[in-house]
Amino acid sequence: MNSPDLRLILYCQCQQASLLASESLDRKLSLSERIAVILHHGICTHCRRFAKQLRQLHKLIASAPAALRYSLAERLDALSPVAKKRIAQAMRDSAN
Amino acid sequence: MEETIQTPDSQPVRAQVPPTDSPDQWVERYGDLLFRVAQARVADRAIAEDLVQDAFLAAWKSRASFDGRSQRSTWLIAILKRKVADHFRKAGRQPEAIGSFEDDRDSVFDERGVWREPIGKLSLPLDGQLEQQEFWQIMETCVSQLPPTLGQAFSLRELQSASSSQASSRLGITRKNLAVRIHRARLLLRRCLENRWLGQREPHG
Repeated sequence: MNSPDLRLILYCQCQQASLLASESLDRKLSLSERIAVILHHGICTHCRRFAKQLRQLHKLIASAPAALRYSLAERLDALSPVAKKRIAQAMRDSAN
Repeated sequence: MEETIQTPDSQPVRAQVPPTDSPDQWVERYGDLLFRVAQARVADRAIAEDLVQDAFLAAWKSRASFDGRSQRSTWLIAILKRKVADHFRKAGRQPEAIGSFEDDRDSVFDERGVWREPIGKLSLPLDGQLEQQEFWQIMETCVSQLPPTLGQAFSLRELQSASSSQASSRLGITRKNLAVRIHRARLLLRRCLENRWLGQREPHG
């Protein structure tokens, strides 16, 4: 068994705990990491609440229909139609 | 009205097309590509849009001198990169090093690593169709306000369900960097939601 990461467990503060809470949504935390988060949450209501809200938000997004998620992603990745019209017009207006 | 004046030249094109020459065709064909390139290099979407506009204007002005030896997209991207460099020179700053998040993270946590601002209630989960619609409108606003490097990471993982390795290789970063970006995106999103979503209802979560 790997020796526990004592420094992580003893010195875990909100900045680290919040990052671990976020990472726990995307991968399995190590035993040391889980202990660090549990101990920190024991004394920090902000981080406890933050972790709960992250889980709720993550679940909300994951359970949204794929069509909704993908169309949002597409809009974010592209120039808006308004911007495209504006740019084309500026090109036409430019003295040439 | 502008929308109804569409010459055949200005139809959006997807398939093979002869060498083009209308602003609408250029923008339709290359706009999203240039926007992605710009977004990856600057701090916000509005600036990225402006730089794309500057690049298109410059390219349009000098379109006669395009010798056709490279791809037009390559040529446009080169012009865009020059505009990006000009932008940073004028602002008197170095281009943002990808992965240099230290200053922003310090605004969320103090020197002891503790939250600067309290974590308030957020009022999730949602109650019914109407709440869902309103919520997603606010989500779209909040996600579009994220710095592009964070927004792209968040979009790949959370909206497009890419795996960590897919997303990190697509963005050219390590998985740890990806995790940090997603974390920062979530921090900012949560704050944006707390401000906008809560304004409309009684907190109960």
